[in-house]
Amino acid sequence: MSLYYNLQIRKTRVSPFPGEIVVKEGESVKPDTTILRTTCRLGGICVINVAEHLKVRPEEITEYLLKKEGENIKWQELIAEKKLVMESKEIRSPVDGILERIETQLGMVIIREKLERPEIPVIIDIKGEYPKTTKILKPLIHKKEGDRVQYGETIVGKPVMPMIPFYTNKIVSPCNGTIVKIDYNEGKIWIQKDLPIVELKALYWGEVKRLITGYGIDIEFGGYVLECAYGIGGISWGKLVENDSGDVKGNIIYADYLAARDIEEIIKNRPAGIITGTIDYEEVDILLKNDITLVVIEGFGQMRISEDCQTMIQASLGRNVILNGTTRLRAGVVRPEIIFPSAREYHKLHEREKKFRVTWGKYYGSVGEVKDLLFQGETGSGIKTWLSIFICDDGEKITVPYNNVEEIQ
Amino acid sequence: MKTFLIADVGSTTTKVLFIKDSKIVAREEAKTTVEKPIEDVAIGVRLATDLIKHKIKDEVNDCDFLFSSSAGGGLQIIAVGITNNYTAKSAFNLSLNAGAIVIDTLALDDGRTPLQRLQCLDQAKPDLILFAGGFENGAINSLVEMAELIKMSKINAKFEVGRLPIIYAGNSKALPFVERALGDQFALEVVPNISPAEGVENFAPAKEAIINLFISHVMSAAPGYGNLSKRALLSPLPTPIAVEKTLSLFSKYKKKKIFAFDMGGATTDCFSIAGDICRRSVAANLGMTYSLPYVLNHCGLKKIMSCLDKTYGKTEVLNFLGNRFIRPTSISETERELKMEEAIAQNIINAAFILHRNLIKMDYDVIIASGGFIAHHPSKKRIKQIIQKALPVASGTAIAIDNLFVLPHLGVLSLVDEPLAVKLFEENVTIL
Repeated sequence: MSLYYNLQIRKTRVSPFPGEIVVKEGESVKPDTTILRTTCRLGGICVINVAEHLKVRPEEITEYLLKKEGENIKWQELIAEKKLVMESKEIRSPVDGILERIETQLGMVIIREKLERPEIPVIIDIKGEYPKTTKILKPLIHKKEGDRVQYGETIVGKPVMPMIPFYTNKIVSPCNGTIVKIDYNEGKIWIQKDLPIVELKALYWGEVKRLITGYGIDIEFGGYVLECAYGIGGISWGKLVENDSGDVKGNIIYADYLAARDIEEIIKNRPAGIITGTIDYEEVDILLKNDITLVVIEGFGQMRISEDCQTMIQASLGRNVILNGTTRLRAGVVRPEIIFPSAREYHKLHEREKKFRVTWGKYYGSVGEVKDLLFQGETGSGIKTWLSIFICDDGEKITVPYNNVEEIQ
Repeated sequence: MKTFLIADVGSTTTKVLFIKDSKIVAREEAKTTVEKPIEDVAIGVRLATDLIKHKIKDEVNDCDFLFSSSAGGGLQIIAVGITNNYTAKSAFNLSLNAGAIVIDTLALDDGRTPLQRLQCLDQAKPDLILFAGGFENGAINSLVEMAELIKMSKINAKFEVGRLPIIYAGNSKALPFVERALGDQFALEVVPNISPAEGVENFAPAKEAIINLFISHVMSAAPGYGNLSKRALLSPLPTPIAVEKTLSLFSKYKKKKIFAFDMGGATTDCFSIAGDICRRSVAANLGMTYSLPYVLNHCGLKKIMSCLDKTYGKTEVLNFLGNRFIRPTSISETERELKMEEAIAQNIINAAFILHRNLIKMDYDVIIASGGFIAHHPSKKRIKQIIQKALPVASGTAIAIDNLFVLPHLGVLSLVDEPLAVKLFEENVTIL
């Protein structure tokens, strides 16, 4: 566990997809401020082996290609054709995109799908519902090509009475989108689904320090960071309250020890996150299943909680805090953290001398000093290891394995 | 007589061995310091060396320095293929076979959306990516799509030093596209396709590339390795390779068929060695500290509890396990804690052996147990009992332990003084 004081914290928020940044440099943001909007689609790659399809040599493909590098191509558009006496061989684009490259050595072309490319349209077959009505379909379809439709909106139906919009045998739209094609003979309607919009949130209170063009921002803020022992879940935020305060919903709750009997009740009230001094390991699973961010300050079982942490927590009750439950213990250690934004009144904590803390066994949590006396000896388990003399703040002198002591950061 | 200072930088602890006058004079260990806040493996080596000095009350100057390493979590790989059941699975198996830990496997049919795959890549910090897929003359589109996905991600190497190595072992026809997508941003190494045709596997070139990259890129990228390597007489070896060298040497000299396991904090490596045959498997998520949640999942609490007496409750065992996971270098202070460790160890050894048996089945003359838990345990008799419960020990099979946990050190030593390595092996590895 480490406590870092009064830092200028800088956090980077970026989207994996390029999008439109909707905040400005210097602007104040809150955790739920939208900082970027983007569409959640990948511009894929489509490689077409033209030489193989047309049965020509790779270097000959340019003779048959109807498009040049850099040209836009529509879905199902003809891109290559080889005319023969009896038949012709043709290649149509399977996607909307740009012809990025013609590989004459390989006999292939690469089409890059547009980032904003729509998904393949949804096709609604109305013949199933109206089997003999090809000729009379037109009056039953209430939309025309180019019209917008909403999810659940009636697009085909027989009116119960003329002029009254109640229908029998109705067909509703399966999505939000635009009608791109209607085939009255085939009894089919093509709907182009709207692209889903993804909004990237700030997740922190602070100031926009830098724009990362097209992808995100750096946010800066002052505060205190408490690195803890264990966590689950991502980032969440809210007002810090005690777990028995009755004000759990949407807030960050704190308990010294989170007992099994309390957890069910807490989950029912949907807090934004949980900070606990300690918890039993078997209870972690239920929080994981309920997708609740959890930060455990000390560890598992009943343990003594650091006084520094308690001071911070008590002083921050009723204020906003940010939790990040992300934990990685090796290969690039990431400890879960609690951020106390703009907290500036914990000066007492700065005045502390260099101290150590016992992190295992019956003296867990004792704060004091390690005497410069290291000797080999046996623990109660019989394991031979380096031991040290530890003088607790209350004056008690104890012997602990050197490995079971850590410096308070 | 030469003096040697040999270090093995493990994921949890750094073990340093001091050899003088052909004898092991001292062996000490300290926490590995590859991670934040220290981020310099040399500090851990220095701390352990200081303990040696403290113990022998002398300096350790004029030594030849050598080292092996699995620090920073060993070799961590993301396996990428096209289909989960075929190429991604091959890449996964190959990575394990090369002594790596697979932290994620990506395939186009892995049930994730492209965004989710991107997020996984963004958060992962592997040592390298093994990228396979497509039979020769087979699929290209999907490979290029995967290459584009990797390019689009903000994936970084573990220690964010240099370009992330990618071994491309897929359809060679897709190579120009893959090179174009990844060549500028990553250290791309191309090897022959690991699955050139249906039912055909060609693992050897990719496996060799993984090990070479581990030595040249990954170990050198870990913070502090540069300085440590400069001091070393030879290039460092990955720990599993060093252990394998020691065991092969012993097997060669004594003409014995060996089964050995090295149970570390994160992984358990198993070896079957008989003459020229050497098979190694890595139980990537079976270890005594960092991997405990996986051990619990893999073995089940019931099995662990069944190795303990009735006074132990579920909550106590789970809390112990959780605390050891978050504080991996801590030392058990009571007999009660030690017994819980024994129960966990028994299950790990058993599970790792079952996984190893899928690779090779043979009879053994000797079983050698190695690892921190084995070396530190106060009772060799109890270790023998744990092994007998965990493994099918045939009558006539001897059980030996690596008393000081020096198999990696001796493997490195064997590169410069083979007879001395054999001598020290015989002195240190004792039959129980």
